[in-house]
Order: sequence, then C-alpha cells, then structure tokens
Amino acid sequence: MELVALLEYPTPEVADRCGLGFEELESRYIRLFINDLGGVAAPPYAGCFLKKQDRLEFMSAFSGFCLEHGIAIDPVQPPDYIPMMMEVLVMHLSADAQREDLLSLIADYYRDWPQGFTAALREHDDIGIYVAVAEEFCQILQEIDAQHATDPVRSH
Amino acid sequence: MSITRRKFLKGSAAGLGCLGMSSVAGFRYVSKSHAEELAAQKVKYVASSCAICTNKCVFRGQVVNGVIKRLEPQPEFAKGRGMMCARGNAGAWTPYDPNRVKYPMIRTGKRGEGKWKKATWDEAYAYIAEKTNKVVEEEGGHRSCIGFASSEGTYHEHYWNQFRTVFGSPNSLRHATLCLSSVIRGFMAVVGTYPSVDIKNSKYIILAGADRAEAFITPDTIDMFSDRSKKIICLDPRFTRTAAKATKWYPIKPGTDMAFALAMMNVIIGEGLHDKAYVDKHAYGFDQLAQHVKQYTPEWAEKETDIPAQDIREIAREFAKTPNAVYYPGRRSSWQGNDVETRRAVAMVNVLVGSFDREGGLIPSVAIPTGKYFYEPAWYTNSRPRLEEDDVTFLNPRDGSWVAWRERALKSDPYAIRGLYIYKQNVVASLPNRNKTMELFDKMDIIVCVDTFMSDTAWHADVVLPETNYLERLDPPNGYGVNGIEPTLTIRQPLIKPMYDTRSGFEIVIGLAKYFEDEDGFTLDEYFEGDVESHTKDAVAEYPGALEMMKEKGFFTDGRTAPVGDYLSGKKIFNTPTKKLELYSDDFKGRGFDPMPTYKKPADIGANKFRFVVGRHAIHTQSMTANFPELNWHMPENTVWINSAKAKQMGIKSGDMVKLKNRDGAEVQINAQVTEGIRPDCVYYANGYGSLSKGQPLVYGKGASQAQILEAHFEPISGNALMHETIVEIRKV
Repeated sequence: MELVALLEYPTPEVADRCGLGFEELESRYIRLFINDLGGVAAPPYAGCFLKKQDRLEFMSAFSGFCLEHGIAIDPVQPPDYIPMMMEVLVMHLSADAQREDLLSLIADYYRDWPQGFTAALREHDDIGIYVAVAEEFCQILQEIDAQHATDPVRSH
Repeated sequence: MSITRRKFLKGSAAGLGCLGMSSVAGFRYVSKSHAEELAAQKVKYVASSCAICTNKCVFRGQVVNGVIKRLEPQPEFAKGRGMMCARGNAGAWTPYDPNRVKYPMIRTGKRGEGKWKKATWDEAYAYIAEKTNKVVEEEGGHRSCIGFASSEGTYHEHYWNQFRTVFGSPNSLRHATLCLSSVIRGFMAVVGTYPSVDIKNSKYIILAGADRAEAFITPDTIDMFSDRSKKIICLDPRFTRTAAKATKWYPIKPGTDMAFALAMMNVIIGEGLHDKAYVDKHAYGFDQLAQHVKQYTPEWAEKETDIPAQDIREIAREFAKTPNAVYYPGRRSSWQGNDVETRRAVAMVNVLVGSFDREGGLIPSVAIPTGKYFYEPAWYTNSRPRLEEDDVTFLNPRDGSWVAWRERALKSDPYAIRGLYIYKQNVVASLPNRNKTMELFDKMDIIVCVDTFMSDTAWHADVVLPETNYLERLDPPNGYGVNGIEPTLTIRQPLIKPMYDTRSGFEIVIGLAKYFEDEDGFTLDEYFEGDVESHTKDAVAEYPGALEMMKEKGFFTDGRTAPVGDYLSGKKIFNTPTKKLELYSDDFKGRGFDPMPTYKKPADIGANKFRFVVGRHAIHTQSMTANFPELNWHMPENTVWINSAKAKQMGIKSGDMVKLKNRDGAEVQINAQVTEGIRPDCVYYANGYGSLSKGQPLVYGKGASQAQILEAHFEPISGNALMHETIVEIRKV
C-alpha cells in the first residue's frame, strides 16, 4: 500500500524524503504522469504499455474480473490505473482469497505491462523514486511467481 | 529509498484485515462490490451523440464492465442513416487518453514552460477571481477588459456565454469568423438565409472548394459520390479526394471563383437559359444584373481562372439545362478580400436557374424550436461597446471578428484587454498569425482555459480547468449541425461516470460564478437556476414524449422535414430587404458596397512566390483530433504540397526539409511532398500539426502549424479571416 501511496500525487513529506522542494517534485510528477512531451512520460495506466492487446479490451476484461470477484473499482480512474491495479492485487493476496484467482489475475493482467512501465520510468524519472517503486512492484510479482512455482499445492 | 518488498507485503496484510466490509480500510480505489452493482455493469447501451465534428451523429455506446467498448450508429437517426464515421468511432478512446487534462492546473513556471501544480477547484477559482478582480479594479471597474472565447457546437457553450453576460463583458469571440461567416452573409444577402442542400435529389453539383469527400463523411457524402448519374464539377487549386471523385476537376486560380460565377451568369443570361418564370416572379434586380454581367465573358474568365472558356460555357449550359442543379454553398472558410461578394455571385447563379426552395437545390433549413433558456441579465453602470465594433459592417455580437478584435486588443484601442477566458477554442492553433496571438497572450494578466486536452491554448494559459469528456456528461438538447432538411434535436448522456477531477461546462461556470459579484454585491451564481437535467426537461417540455425518446434513442424528431416550395408558393416570405431573391442589393449600395458582385483581380503574388491555401483532410477535424493516437497513426506528420514542375525547378524532392516564409516574416519548416495535385502557384499543408504544446505529444513539433504561416487579414463586411491571402517564399533547408 505504501507503493500505491508513492505513486499518488506527491505530498510535502514525500518531497522531503526525496530531498526536493515540494514544487519541484510536483512539477516532475506532472511531467511523468499528467502532462508532458512524449505524452505523459510514464502514463500510470497499464493499458498504455500493452504491446499486442487493445487497451479498451484490457480495461473491460480487468474490470469484469474485479466485478466477478466481488471487487468494485473506483470509476474516478480508468480501470487500468496502476495504483488501483496494485490495490486489486493486494486484495487478492489476502489469506482467504483463492490462489487460483490470484494466479489467474497475475497471468492475465500483470504480465505484459510492468516492465514497460518500469522502462519508461527508468528513462524519464530522474529523481529515482518512481523507478524504485516500479522495480519493487516487478520484484513483488516475481516473488509471487517464485512462491507458487515452488509450492505445488499453491501452484495447483 | 526506505520502501522494500517486505514492507509492501506487510502493509498489504494489514490492509487486508478489513476485507468483507463494503469500504476497505486503507484502500483508496477498491471496495467490495454488491450483487446489484455487478448486475448493473456487464453490458449496457447508452444513446448519445458525437462531438468529433460538427455533425453530432447519434450513436448507441456499448459499455462493458464500465468501459466504453464502441460507439455504434443509431440506425433511426435520419442524418446518420446507420453510419458512424471512423473519426467518430475514434472518440471511444478519448476518455481514456492519458494526455487528458485531469485536474485543475495552475501554472507555476513561465507561460508555455509547462510547469504546473495541481489545484483544487476552489483554489483555481480563487486564483482566477483574485487576478481578474484586480485588473477590473485597475481598469476603473470596466469588465469589458476581459475577452471571452468559445467554440461552436458544444452544448454547454451557452452557459459560458451566460457567465460572460452576467459578468459584464461585451467581448465575445466564437469560431464563426475563422470559418463561414462570409458564406452565410453572402447567401443571406441574396436568398435571405444560409440554406442546406438537397444533395440526394440533385443531379448536377458544382463544388467550389468544399471538400465533401474529406471534411465530413456522412451519408450525404456517399449520396454525392456513389450515384454515377450525378455530375459533379470540382473547382479547387488542389487535387483533393473530392476532386478525385468528381466528374471533372478544374484547378482554379485562387481568388477567381467570382470570375467563374460571373461568366456562368453571362452565359446563362446571354443565351436565355435562366428560369424566366422563376426569376420574373421571385427575383429583384434581374435587368441590372443582366447588364452587369455582359462584361464577364467566358473568354475573359478563362484568363482569370485558368479554366478554358469553352468549358465554362459548357458547364453553364449544362447547369442551366439540368433540372435539380445546385452550386454548393460550401461550409468552408473565406478566401480573399471580396469573399462576401463571391458568395453572393454563387447564390445568384443558383437563383438564375431556380435552384432555391426547389427539390435538388438549396433548401431553407428548419429547426425544431426548443424552450428558451432564460436568465436575468446583469446591469453595469460602467459598460463599453465591444472592441472592434466599428471595423465590421455586419458584426454578430456573439461571434465578433477574431482578427479585427485581436488587432484592436494588441493596440489597446480603444481600451485595454487584460484577460482572456477561453472555453474549448484552440485560439493559438486556429487564429492566423500565431506570433500575434502569442503577443496578445503576453499582454494578458490572466488567461483561463477550459478544455479536455492540453491544446496549444491550454498550454499557454495560467489556469486550465478540465471539462468532462463528452462521453461522461449530460448535455442539454441541441439542434446545431443536425438542423436542415431533417431537423432533429440531439442529446448527450453519460456512458460512464466522469473520471479524474473534471466538471461539466455548467458546473465549471456555476463554481466560477460564486467567486464574482455584480455591482449590487450579489454573487453571479445567483443568475443561474436549475441544472442540466432540468434545462433538458424544460427545453422539450412542449413535445410530449420527447424527453423519453431522447433518453432512449439519443435524439428527438417529430417527423417534420424542411418544406420545399413554401417560399415559392408565398406561404413564407423571403427574408431580404425587398422580400425577393436579390440579384441587386440596394442595402449593400446604401452601405457603400457594390450592389452586384464586381470582380476585383487578385494581386499578383510575384515571381517564385506561392499562395498558401488551406483545406480539410479526411483524417482529422482541424486541430482537435490531430493528437488522437487512433487517428494520428494514419498521418503522423503533415507535409507541404508543392507542384512537381515547380519543385523540379527549385531542386526540391519529396522528403526534403523546406522553409516557408510569409510576408510578415513568419517561418515554418516542414517536409516537402512533391505532387501533380496542386497548382504551380500554390502550396498547402494540413491543419493540426506543429503544435507548441508538449501536452500534445504526437503533434508537438511535428510538421508545421497553419496558424504560424497564415497572415492575418479580415474581410470588413462579415469580419471573416481571409485564409487565402498568405503569400510565401520557399527554400530548401
């Protein structure tokens, strides 16, 4: 959840942690995620990093998956908003969530874009905070994979 | 960085402790859904109307799991006839475009530098009000020091206009004088209205510059070109797609369309081919016109237009002899200094053959009247006339005259303009002479822009207010763009909930109005009553079942069509000073203009120079859609068309970078496209590229901007900007 918070609009506290003035961090955040050359340099929307799949299809399918699994996502953002997708993943990491659902969720919706998002941040995030968040997220996904690969019961 | 994977997982586990509640603690975007929410999602259809061009085609939007999947044409909508063009379909992606303006933004760096901070709506309003009230006070309380611009066809635009009027500024500027004001004025002067065309039933159509195979792709476009029995004559300096589909294409010399029309009249009248009964009964001034056009022979016109005299003669004869022939009025920008007179000449050709108010000809448009949206006006003791009031004969107070107004504003003549409030008009990219627009912006103390994307104008504003996308909001009924032969009211309904921190146009002005007071100390929001839902109901209250039909189908029609022949039968009276179709205008004469169109030869452009011509292209709607990824990939960059013979002389090949320089010294660089499809004395490139806004990444710095190269001239009868009065030099870079 801290990763989610870090991807949100910055606060003075986050700016402090980065050793930057708040306005400077705001400006950099906006260029990365809200408006700048290249479009938003690293749009925080998973569908923007898909290579083969149509973004509308992806969002619709992901939204449908959430609904079918009892999760409502906030319509204030597109369904592929990365912090929101992180929250959906966190919900599926709960003890009572079905492991099959988690694996299916990751396989269908968290495979194609995290590396692209991370690569975009590596190219454009000269502060480093957002690259770190994205890399951390990729590692979490890898760890989940690894856990299930070594746990025959869980990997089913 | 102190964030680690372990902390993430640990934090996650803590958050998960609350699962099972409808709102999950620690989660911002997700909650437990209920069965009814799930059932409400899945697949649904919402009827609404398009906003990608002026036609407002009605569609059924398919929404799957809360995501817009596609926009299907509404088959019962008469104008669309089951068709939805590619541009309209591309609109389905627009709410999800990562480059949308998502939050109110206040500039923190220099204008155009691209440094912003996200603001709350109240912060943005307070900032605007503080700056505005300061300049109004400095100007002695004169609220005319704030100019208001808005675009056509947006259903919330009248709320913006209401805000302007209760705020107390007369300075309203709309797109009309960058578009078709001169066409409207020319046709109004002759037939008393700006008519539609009964394309389906027309057998012979002259298209002078109107690029109907590219500008708008609607079923009547198909009617025009699919019926091989129709004869289509295309006059255009460029070989457009319309030219490609026409029976004959003539690359007419720009600025000589009036010569062609006058020569047609010379032949039609000279050979007695005009509709004598029609003209005798309905027209005024035939004898004067007959005398006047004797001088304009086809042989004379050939030298002016570069169209062979024999061809002009044949076209005139065929046109007069073919029942249901029409000289298309066009829906395009004005060209050169005598543009209103040129359009009068075109209207007169139609009158001579009896085309007005007849099947297959010019049909007076009709509308379904809606309930008036009434509001109390505000009165101010300090009020002044609009800035360019004395510059234009027929000045529409809502439209203004953009070029004339900007000239005055730059000189603070007769008073200073200190602020600009702009609602969805991309002023920077659409006004000729972009350098002057930027000069104007530099003089402003406050620039406010409402938009959905970071247009060039938004990029240079001080405050950008994000409007909801047209697929996210309710828009009240509107007949604009769909009136005419089959009048219809259309509506917009939200397919999805508004995303980000955006508001509708109505909500934006209501919020802003709370921060301003009138002279009596009442806040301006007190002038606004109801909401969009109630205005929608009120607009169609007199038509039983209309509201329900609009909500279900996206449109309302009571089945009426434009009555053909009501003017000819005397049931209606021509809306001209003489109540006749005017081939001679006492009104124009009284105002010091030519009572009949009188040809004035275009100025010689000089050796090795080119006239820059504008025109539409099939992919985009002006500058609005150029940055849509779904459309941009078809044409990622514009190129300048240069005639192949001329290019060879100059050593220019396709793909070479060339520099264009106009008479004001403005320059652009752009890749050349060598082609046979343009006259040797003209060059052209498409609108929408060469953006200054980094928020439009696909067109930022790609190709060249029309606004940058166009010189600023305007025509004093209608106030229209003149789009073919730019002369350029070209050199290879």
